[in-house]
Amino acid sequence: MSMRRWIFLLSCGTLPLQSAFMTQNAVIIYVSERSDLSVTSNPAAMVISLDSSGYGRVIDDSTYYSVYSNKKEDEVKITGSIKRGGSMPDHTTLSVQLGSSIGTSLGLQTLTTSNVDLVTDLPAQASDTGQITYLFQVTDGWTIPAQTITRTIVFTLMEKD
Amino acid sequence: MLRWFFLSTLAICALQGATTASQTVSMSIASISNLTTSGNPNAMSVSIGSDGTGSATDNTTTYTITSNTNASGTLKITGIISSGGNMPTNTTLAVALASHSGSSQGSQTLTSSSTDLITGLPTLVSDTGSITYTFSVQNGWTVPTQTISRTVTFTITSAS
Repeated sequence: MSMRRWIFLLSCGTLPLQSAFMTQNAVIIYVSERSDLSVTSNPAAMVISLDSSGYGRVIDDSTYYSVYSNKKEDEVKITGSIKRGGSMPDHTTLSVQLGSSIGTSLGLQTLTTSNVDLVTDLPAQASDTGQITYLFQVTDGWTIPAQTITRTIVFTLMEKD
Repeated sequence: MLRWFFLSTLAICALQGATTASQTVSMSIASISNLTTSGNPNAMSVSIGSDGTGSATDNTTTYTITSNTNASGTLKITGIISSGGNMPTNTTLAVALASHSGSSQGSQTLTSSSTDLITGLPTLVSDTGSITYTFSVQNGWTVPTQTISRTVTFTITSAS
């Protein structure tokens, strides 16, 4: 028997033995649940000059938000509230609107220290960027002194009720 | 193994918690003080009486003041003849501004120097009042017939 044939037969004989030592690994790949909400920057300062009736309004729509979510289920929504500075002074209001391509924008909503819905019906898996529009309004402006008002607004991505 | 699981859990929790975003919003209400009048008064014509005196009044116009200044103290409105110079000898032009928010000083003779017309106005004010002009002539037989035009300027100033 030639050397080549011996090598071939030996090789065949060892294969079943080797298979007996093979193991299987169960590989679990976990894609972590992640939700992100970010804004581009702070809006520009909004300055009102009252008209003769004491009314004034100014709009800023220079900033944007981005939302990302890969939740498995449940629709999500975005709420907004005044986080720092307290409620707006009497006769002034600050409203905000978040534009949305994939959810339902609720339009201009007056901000208070309590959460108010801004975008609803966002899908659980979402990736979107929208415009932030602020509206600052003054009524009966001759009853409040000229002043500068600063408020911190927080937007929150949360599961739909 | 436990440590790895603990650290992974922490990382996932941190990501799940990043669901808020904040913006700082700066708003200002500009300081404005406005004083306007409804128009010019009608022409006032005096027919001199036998004693050489005469007067005419006009109260067809109003003024409106609005202010939201954050200055301390009070405001006042002054009046001055700003164009045309002082009134001719033996003639006077006086004006009274009525006020709901301040103290009207009544009818005050106008010259080329400022005269207080209303004092004690609050810094936050929106008010409208009547303007009453009185044109008077004394010793009229010494004054030739003429037409006199003057520009009167009202100004809001701090009373302090």
